[in-house]
Amino acid sequence: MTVYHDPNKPRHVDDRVEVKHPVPEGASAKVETTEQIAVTTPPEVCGMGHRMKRKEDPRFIQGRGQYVDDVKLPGMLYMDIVRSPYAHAKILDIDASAALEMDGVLAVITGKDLEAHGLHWMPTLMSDTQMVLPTEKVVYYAQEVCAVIATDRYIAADAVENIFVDYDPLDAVVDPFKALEDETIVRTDKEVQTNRIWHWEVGDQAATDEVFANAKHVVKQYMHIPRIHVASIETCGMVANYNPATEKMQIYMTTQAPHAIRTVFALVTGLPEHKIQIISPDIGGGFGGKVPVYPGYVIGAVASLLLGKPVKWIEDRSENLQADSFARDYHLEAELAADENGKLVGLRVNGLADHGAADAAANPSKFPAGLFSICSGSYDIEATHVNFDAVYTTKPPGGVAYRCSFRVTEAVHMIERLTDMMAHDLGIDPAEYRMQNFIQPEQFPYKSATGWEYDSGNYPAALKKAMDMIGYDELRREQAEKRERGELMGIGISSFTEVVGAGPAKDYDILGIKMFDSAEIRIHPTGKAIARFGTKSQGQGHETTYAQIIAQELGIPANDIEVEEGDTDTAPYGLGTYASRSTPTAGAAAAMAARKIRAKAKKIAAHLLEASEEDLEWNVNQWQVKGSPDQAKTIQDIAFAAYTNHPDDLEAGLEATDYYNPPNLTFPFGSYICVVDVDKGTGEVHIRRFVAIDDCGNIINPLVVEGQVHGGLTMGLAPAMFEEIVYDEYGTCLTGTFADYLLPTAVESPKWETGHTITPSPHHPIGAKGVGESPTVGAPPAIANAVVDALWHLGVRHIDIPITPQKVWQALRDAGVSD
Amino acid sequence: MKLQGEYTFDAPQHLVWEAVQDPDVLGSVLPGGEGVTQTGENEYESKLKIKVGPVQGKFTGNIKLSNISPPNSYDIEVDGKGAPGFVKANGSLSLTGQSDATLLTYQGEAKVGGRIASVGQRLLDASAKSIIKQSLEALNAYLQVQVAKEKAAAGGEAAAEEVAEAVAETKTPEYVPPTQTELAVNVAKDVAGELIPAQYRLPLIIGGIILVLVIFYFIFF
Repeated sequence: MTVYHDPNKPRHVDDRVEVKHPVPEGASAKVETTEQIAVTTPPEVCGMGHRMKRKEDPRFIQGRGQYVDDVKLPGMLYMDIVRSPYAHAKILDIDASAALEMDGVLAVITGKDLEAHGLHWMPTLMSDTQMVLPTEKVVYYAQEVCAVIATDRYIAADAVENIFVDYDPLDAVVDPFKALEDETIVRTDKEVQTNRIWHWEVGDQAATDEVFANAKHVVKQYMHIPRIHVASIETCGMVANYNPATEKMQIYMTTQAPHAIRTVFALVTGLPEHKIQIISPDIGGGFGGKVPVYPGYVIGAVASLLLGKPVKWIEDRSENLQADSFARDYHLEAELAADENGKLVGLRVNGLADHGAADAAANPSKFPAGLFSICSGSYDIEATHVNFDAVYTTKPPGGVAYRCSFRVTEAVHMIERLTDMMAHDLGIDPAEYRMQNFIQPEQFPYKSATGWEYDSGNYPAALKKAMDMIGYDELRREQAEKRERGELMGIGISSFTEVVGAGPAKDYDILGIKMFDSAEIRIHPTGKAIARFGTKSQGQGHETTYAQIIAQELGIPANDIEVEEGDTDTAPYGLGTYASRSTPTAGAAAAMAARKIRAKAKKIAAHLLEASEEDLEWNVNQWQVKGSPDQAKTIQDIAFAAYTNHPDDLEAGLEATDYYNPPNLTFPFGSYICVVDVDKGTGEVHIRRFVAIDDCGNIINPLVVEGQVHGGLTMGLAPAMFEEIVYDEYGTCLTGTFADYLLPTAVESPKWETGHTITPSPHHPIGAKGVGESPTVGAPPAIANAVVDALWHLGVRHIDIPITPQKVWQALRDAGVSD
Repeated sequence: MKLQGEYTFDAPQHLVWEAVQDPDVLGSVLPGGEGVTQTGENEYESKLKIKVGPVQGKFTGNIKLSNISPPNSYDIEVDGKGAPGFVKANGSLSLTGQSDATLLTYQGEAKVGGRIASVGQRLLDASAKSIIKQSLEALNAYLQVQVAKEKAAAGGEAAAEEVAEAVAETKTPEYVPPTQTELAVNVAKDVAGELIPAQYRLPLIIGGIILVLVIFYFIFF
């Protein structure tokens, strides 16, 4: 597997992925599935399994969070950005004279100004290049063209209206299939004049073709997983504060990965890394959209550097929706094969990725199509081949992993739709068909045809539980009765497998930085603690769950542990929070660091108890002499001694740091069942019930998991029925406001019924897997399958998401039902 | 976006033809127009201030007339650019005399892009129709003055009286284009008319008034 780092050449990646992981000791041990959450600490300690209310919520619900836009520094200036009304056009002239004459306007920064410092281009996360500000042409609608710095936000906005840019329009490249023809080249800056970015293949093509040639049953479907936006409630923004006296650049910014950003800033600008401090304050939703570096960040930093004053830049909603990284946008031509017994045997995929004007996907660098190749999902399929191309179009660059682990959403949607089609074609109930084709519990650790080693799973247990909870058989009876009467009711299942926790250093890096993560714990003399991490919460509840992990390991009450993230001057280095990686990486680091502290605590306890270390045993929050629990020193006693009465041969203090390199990814899974009623007259889909059973391994905090699942399901409902970024033929974005880009609210969301099974990860220190993205990944195919299930008898085989009333009505009309 | 329609002017064909050829007249009847200047033979440049929904801004448009066959028809090509986006349009316009009246029919296609299309797309069709309708009404008002003037020139006191009447009707001796505010109000009215079916309009207005009264009640009492 090769990735060419020369951005001027299309990257042809021909050899196959062979993912091998060092299996840690005991990793292959069979794990049992349970439903009971194990709680081994008392409520006052609040270790793992306690439904602890989130520690961060009081400040959020009282409006006392500190977001980037809350940062106000003396003498702060404001930036606003002129954006292109064309998707593709030459820039002939930028006339900023009228703007510069306005009172309060200090500077207008153009691409030419940045070019003088060599900063008009920047690298993307996939080692491609992206314009910061254009010097010759714009390549997407709403692209940054130049920026105004003014003393006031309103003056800056008015000045933007007074900058006149003369464009010479070029043809827009909107259709990715048309882009393949290379009639109009998007990236004329490249040596090779082509819109093709890379080609990627995974799996054994010959073996897959052979399986298909001998297969009894084949289903084939073209699907588009539409371009969508994370639409976080807080848009992106920054305050860059360069102090000419200290030569230090302090940047408050909405970023999910502050450390990586610091390194990239240092490499791009040439500033020494110790003179750059990235502070990521409270974040109002990231979902992957706050991983990339956007041009605005660089321009703001340059402005502060040039003017020696703090500069604030906050995007407005339309800028955020129109110009920031998108997610998804995969076109898939997919085929699934089954043998004469209905057993799934082969999967063949031809994919086309529309990357916009730069390959700015947020993928680990070895994986140009992310973790898409885990596309055989929860099924035991002997041969799989994936063939992928990516192209440039005149759209904003991307795509980010929107609440999913690097393209697994697209893979899951595809396999779950295909499996459902196969079941329907064979006349087998979709639930029963899944049961027949699941990777069985005894097959774990399971190696997929595309090289993934699934750590643990019990798919039948999760589906069985979901079926019991929703009353599956009764619903099927009701459906049959309704169909007799001509009413449309559908039941949809999605039994997904997620893949999270990137990742093992051997295979996973972003721009060369390995994807470990870190924790640093310091115990204060009075037994309280501060813990710092390389990750950054954007609403996931890290301040609570990390504290609970440490509480579990050390017995220090979770409320006595301060969790801090996001300041690169204080936190240990880490790759940040996205792709459900925090618990599998930094969460593991927290447990490992706590165990290092516990080991040192044992030495101090032995000293205090005048006992031998071998005679001590750990019990919740204390080291005690085996057999006599009253002979004990609590972690608080030990912490005090660590600063007041430590053994001579031991360093003072009680702290530890751990950089955790996971031996494998973790594979959470679940089964969702959705029941819909479809209105024949209007095509409107009403979700009557939605049951979600998730298995994310050991649960740290059930309340946080349920909260994550509720939010994730709603974010899965969104692309299933509402969201899509739409462009017209000129490449103008038509969905630049929340009037046109539809988000589900409480009104559109059904009641989510959640539940869990627990199949621990065998290789993770606390057996946890990560859950934030499972529901976003699993929900769309459950909804799509339910709608198609309602219409299957009318001849409807597939409807692309978002399933709008218009599409359903059209399908009904084509089937001769609606008029 | 397809544009087509017709309008009957209460004026003879030769007057209408003169008017639709005169840059000064066109400049004054275009809502938001800030003057039309001739830049070449049958080529003009116009400046327009346009507001569609929440988007507003200035456009500079190059207008080119071709296939001119007086006094019956011409083809028109518009290439407009501005901060809020761009417009490219081409179409044809023809006149048919009907005794004292003249029927104008027009058809064409306009391509609109940029912010004006992105944010204002739902209002675009209705706004364009409204702007055209207002232009034509303004042109008709202008033509009434011309008709009266022509009659006055033809002689006779009766005719002079008619001029006075026509002038009185338009309040001033010359035609005065609507103000920006009037224009915006008219566009809003037309757009609302198009988006809200007639049977809901009254209930919605009454509902709105009641809502405002309720809010006032809670604020002040």
